[in-house]
Amino acid sequence: MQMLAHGYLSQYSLAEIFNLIQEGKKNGVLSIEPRDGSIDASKVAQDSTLEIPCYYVSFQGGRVMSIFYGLEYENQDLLAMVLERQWIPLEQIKELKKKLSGLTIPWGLQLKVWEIISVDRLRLLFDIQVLSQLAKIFEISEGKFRFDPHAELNYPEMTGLSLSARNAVLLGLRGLKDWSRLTNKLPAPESRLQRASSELQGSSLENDEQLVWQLALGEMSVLEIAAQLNLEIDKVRQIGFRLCSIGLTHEVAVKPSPPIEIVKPVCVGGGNPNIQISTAFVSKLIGFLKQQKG
Amino acid sequence: MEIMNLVVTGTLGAGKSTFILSASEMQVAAPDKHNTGDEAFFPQDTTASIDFETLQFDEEMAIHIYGTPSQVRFDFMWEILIERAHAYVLLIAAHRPSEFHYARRILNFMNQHAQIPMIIGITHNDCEGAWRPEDIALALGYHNSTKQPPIVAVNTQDRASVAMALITLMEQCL
Ligand SMILES: Nc1nc2c(ncn2[C@@H]2O[C@H](COP(=O)(O)OP(=O)(O)OP(=O)(O)O)[C@@H](O)[C@H]2O)c(=O)[nH]1
Ligand SMILES: [Mg+2]
Repeated sequence: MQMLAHGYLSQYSLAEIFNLIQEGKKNGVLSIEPRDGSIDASKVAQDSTLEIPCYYVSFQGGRVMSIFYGLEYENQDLLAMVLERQWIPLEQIKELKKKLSGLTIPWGLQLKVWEIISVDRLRLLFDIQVLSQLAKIFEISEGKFRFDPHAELNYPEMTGLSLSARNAVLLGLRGLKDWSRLTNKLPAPESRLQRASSELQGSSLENDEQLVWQLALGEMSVLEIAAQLNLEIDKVRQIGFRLCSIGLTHEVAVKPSPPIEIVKPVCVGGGNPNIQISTAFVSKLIGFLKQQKG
Repeated sequence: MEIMNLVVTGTLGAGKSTFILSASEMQVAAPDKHNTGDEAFFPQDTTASIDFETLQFDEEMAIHIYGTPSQVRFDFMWEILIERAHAYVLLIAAHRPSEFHYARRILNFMNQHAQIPMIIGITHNDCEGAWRPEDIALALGYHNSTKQPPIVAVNTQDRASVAMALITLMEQCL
């Protein structure tokens, strides 16, 4: 990672950077400064006076802890988000801030331990902070990045929830609309895909991704897989790229990466989708709604 | 706290945001101020495309209502939303038949990702050129009325009308 501590997104894709961070189980902050259009890389390096909002992605043990977007890192904390939603009155926030300052664990976690904020609410904050930002980060086509393994972790902004860098890549790349910049990094039509492991390790692949993965036995070319599945070649190349990016498959002739653990991503939604809504809930709600009809 | 995740999806300008707002405005006067539903929302600038409101109708019960991003492309945000949902509403603007095809694609996408209670709400019924709900059903491919989900007319600007639609949806959950 040291040699990759900074560079341009034209040289390294975010997927590659995230992967390195995951593989090295790195701690630190990755800053990404987007640049629209094709600006000469050397000029970008010189011109540091321009103020451009950056993304700051905090990692702990190779997992995404929080993402901050703004001009200057460090001025966002969870308590501000909590206050904005009026979950806790201002006086109490001030008090909490004093009690929390200096702690070296995610503030969200501490607030949960103190039973001041529920997991549902933490999850919502994490969704806002991380999941909704990921799609945007993987849209960035030009820019520079910098990984600072010595950056102080910003505990005040962390919920304590996290997402493996690998899953972040999967989610981010699925949301990608413009693949043109990555074209030369996609697996070639003639190349073969080989699974890195015989198991999906609990990763939640989309239908097409799963089908491609099943055929990735090192025997069929990307072209043949596309024909067999009746999918567009570009689509299969993109899926192949996603699978390779998260280490589930690799292009044959490339040194295989070790099998990896995939963690189910944290998702939007305060309620638990696995728990059925009770009849009591539904009847009570119907009663309430009937009153609204006046 | 029992929480139901409700997704409101639909065609462009169908009234998703208005529906969600109207629903959230049904708030009960809760005894505990910081337990009311209007506290949690996605500030427009952070998520740009996602509406989120809560409706707490009981001390221990609330609905979290999410709007799907207003873009034609289905991405992982859609998946995340639908896979977390307990139920959903599909809103279709009756006066924009050119969007019915997109509504059908939404239906397919939803069906692929979750089998959950749902209703179709037809909006803009008061607008010029509005199709009748039964014609829209046909346009959506429902040729057999026994197999179609409930299709209700709804004025998203009217709280009572939104309540009616939600009652129909809740009846699907029983
Ligand atoms: N006449 C009429 N107007 C409506 C109705 N529902 C919504 N509107 C109006 O239609 C416009 C669009 O409503 P929104 O709630 O923003 O629709 P949306 O689905 O969130 O739109 P997008 O997010 O842009 O896709 C607003 O001006 C609403 O006031 C309805 O039932 N009848
Ligand atoms: Mg809207």
